[in-house]
Amino acid sequence: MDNRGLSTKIIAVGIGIMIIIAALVVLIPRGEKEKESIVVYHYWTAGADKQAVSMLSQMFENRTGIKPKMNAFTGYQDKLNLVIDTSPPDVAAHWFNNFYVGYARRGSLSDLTDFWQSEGLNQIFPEKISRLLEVDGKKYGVPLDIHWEGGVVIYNLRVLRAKGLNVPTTWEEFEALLEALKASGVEHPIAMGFKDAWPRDMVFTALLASIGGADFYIGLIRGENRWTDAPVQQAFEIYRQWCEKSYFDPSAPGLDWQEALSTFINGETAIYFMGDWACAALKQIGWKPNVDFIADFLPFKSGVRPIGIPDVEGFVIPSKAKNAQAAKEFLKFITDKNVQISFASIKGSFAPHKDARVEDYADSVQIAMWRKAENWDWALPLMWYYPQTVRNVFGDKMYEIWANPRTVNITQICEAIQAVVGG
Amino acid sequence: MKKFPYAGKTGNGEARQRLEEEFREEEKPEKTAFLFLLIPLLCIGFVIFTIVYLFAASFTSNGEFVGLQNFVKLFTEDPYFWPALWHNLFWMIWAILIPVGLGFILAFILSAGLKGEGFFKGVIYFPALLSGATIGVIWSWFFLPKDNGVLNFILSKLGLMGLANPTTKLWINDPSSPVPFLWIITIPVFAISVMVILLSFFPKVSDLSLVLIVSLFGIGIPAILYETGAVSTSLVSILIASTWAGSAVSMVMFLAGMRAIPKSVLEAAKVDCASWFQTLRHVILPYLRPVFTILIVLSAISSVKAFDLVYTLAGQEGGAGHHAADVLALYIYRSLKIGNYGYASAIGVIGILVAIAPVIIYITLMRRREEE
Amino acid sequence: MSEKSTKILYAIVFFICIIWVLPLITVIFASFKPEVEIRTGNPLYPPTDPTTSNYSDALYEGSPPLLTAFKNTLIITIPAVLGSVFLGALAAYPLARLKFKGSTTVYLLLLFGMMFPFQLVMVPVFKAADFLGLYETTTGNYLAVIGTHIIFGVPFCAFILRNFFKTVPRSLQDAAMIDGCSHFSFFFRILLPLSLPALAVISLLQFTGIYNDMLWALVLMRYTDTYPVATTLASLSTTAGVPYGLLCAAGFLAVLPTLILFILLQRYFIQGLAAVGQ
Repeated sequence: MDNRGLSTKIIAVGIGIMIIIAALVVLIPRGEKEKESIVVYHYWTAGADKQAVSMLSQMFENRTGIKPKMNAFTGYQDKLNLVIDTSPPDVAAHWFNNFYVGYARRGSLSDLTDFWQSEGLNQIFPEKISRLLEVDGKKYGVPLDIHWEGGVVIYNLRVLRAKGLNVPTTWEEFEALLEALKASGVEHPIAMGFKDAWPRDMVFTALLASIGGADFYIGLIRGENRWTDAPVQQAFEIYRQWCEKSYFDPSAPGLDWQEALSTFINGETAIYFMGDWACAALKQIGWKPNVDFIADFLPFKSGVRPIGIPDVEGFVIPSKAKNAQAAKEFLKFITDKNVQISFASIKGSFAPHKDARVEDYADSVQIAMWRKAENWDWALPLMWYYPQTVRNVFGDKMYEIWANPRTVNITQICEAIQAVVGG
Repeated sequence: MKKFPYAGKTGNGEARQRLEEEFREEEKPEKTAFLFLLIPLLCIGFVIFTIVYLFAASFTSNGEFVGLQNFVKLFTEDPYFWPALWHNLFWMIWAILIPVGLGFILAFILSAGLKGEGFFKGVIYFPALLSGATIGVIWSWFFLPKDNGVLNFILSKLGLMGLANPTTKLWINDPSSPVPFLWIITIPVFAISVMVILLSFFPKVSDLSLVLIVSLFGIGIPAILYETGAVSTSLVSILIASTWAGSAVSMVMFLAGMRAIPKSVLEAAKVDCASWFQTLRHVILPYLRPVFTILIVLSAISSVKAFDLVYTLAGQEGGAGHHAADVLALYIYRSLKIGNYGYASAIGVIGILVAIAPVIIYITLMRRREEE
Repeated sequence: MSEKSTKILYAIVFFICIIWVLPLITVIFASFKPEVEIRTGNPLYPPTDPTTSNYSDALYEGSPPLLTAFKNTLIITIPAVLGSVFLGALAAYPLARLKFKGSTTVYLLLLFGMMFPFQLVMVPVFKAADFLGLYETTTGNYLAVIGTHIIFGVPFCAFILRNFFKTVPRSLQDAAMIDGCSHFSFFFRILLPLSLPALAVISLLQFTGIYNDMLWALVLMRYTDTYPVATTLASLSTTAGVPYGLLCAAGFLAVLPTLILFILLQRYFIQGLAAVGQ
């Protein structure tokens, strides 16, 4: 190799690369003028969620002239954890769960109680809902939409019709339905995919709500009841029986909720414990509510007060946000009834605004569910009230029951969970 | 920098040589070294800083100094730590044996000098270019539980579903002991790997010892681990996915190494009428010893880093509820989420210590080689 | 080699290649299938109704769209590779050639810097970047990511190149230096050009590593539209489920640059790996 010629070539290539880099550096987008825009973090990364949030962003821009910088993240909680105390966004979407409470308590979120007062939000949102986002009497966020999550059961009407079975209205009928399905050849009537832990946790939440009712559920999350009390043990026991009788799809550990939905769609399973977003997914592939599927609450045991378990999400303002003023504009914007209705109708959820009538924007199944539950007591999904440490132990125990239904000891499990819950 | 005072002047005689030697000994290398290393040392310094920060943080909990408490908790009370540690150790053992052995087998086959060798090499090397996330997607698609999963589909078409999990049809999220299909695929490779590595470092071992060691370490121990469920279908499946990408580098290095063997030695072997196995054993493998060494060390080191792939395939818990594929890196990630940075750092410290072990072995080997 | 055994060998190699490529082929097929067919149809068959919607979605729709992500990747990867390889070579030379006090310490530091999972130091790195004000601005984000890649890449490059430099015959160096060459000019004028195969290998390995790394951009970048390709891929899985078609298409597009680079540099690559293995 000719060294001299090669060094020249290398120098030429080097200069060429440096020119390219300089050109690219020029292409780097400069940060947009931060003063005139606000930074919004959220987690609605795909599908109907994404459409809904784009619409939100567009509407905000039309109304106020400020173009929000929307950023969707997967692994949302981690991203937020990393930046919330150092360089947070101006507005962040969030669920009103235990992480929210944690942030509020350690001062990472702006206290919006006065904002609620001045904007009259206490008159706009029903007390049932605003209570759910209170932390130590103060409010740190504004709700945007509601999904039904806890206790929701989706029935596969195609399968039920084929087997000549009806949608159950009482607890006993529900249990009978499971037996009947199994007898008629549906080997694993309940669709399940717990590659992520939460779909399986939802089954427990539903069982606990139906067995213990509003009083026990609310008492449990307040710490007045214990995980070793009878309703909890009964809920675990029923779950154990279902595992033993192999009601659940055995491939569940490897499926995520959408793949479990596929087993529902192709008729392998007939019952799905899943929030109402699954209905939106079914509608997207052309299934008709009340014809192909129906969603309803798991029937409550007789003698027990019913409870509604919604999933409430909204926006918060981190206390270190740069543009708190514009952030408050954004929050004001989302309290508008029409904004909420537009968002909810695209996303397939419900608007929390007092004056938003479900009949105006939801489908028949949704309306039926809403009307049924609107006068019940409401609480958030069970696991939202507990920190990650408890969720981990709970998840492991649920798996243990699933894997060893014959030999597992429910009392020990309850004690273990109570120990982690503490107190 | 001092110039040799007689530079450019002609003459190559003894006097000049003596002057050259004197000159060489007088050099002060420190200054030059320092100039060269200035910026790189800054970089390494930053890396060290982050590690020191990590070590320091491992002695705190929520901002307060707690001494060794984190470690004590980790070793005695933590139910996730030991499984994760074990999985990492098994990952390291696998990484040292399987990709290396498989790479060797592939290189050996390709070394026959077939046409289109470049093409084959390219095909096999291709997966190494992919990111962990992409490999994860490809293999989660491959191992999909229902009948759509490529592997399940092939097995059922061949009627071999009995070798896998006919009821659950699970691969990646299956915490039970490895199914027969995995035995068939992996144990032979274990055996071959142990054999070639042994022969490379100890070519003079007796045939009896060879058979004993290969049976014990190559077949016996994996079989025991599989049978007792110490490792699960889940972990083994994920490891297969990582091997798909990982064996190519070893294959290329072995091929190059084999090409570098002096033709004269190979000719001599042929003249002596050595069978291919004898050539392999007495000529090729010993020559490849340096390649084995560096591959083993690099594999061991990078096994502790395993994260992207496991995260994509098994989720952040390494398998919700059963943690069959939980590794230290995942556990650290989860602990960071919970928020106790001190505790997560303690796990990290253990991870670093686990990774140090092969390095120390490597350095000792290097020292020994340099002394030879 | 006899006829028959050659044929058998070919058959074996062919068979291995098929198995090796099988996962890839199913992915390529899947990238052309609409989502419904992916979930219900047979994974091994080619698409019955091929569609390029997955590709167009990946390129134009994502957050960020892959086209933007490619641009971001270029901005990040090229300086990072050049920087880490160059600095690695700078560090490798004295370790390979000069005997000086502390060379063992530096070598050990190098090894140490290579071998821990980088997630561990996510938090200190973020804090350092934030402290320097690099999280605030977009340019700062890029600088932080490039800098981090360089810093964490130097140990590996130095390690490999040190081994390689050791194989360069001493006589060459002595001859050059006797004739009046300083260490610096030897390094730049002779050693580097001579090491082109090894440099090519390291560059390719670094390129692949940095290109495929999703961690630092995730941690150090404020907005999703500055994400490079690997991080974009990682964020395509959503809570609404895994869009396999989109992921397959995006994954395939993502690998094209590395593939092209690999094909171009293949000759050097093989040479270089051989040298490195000594």
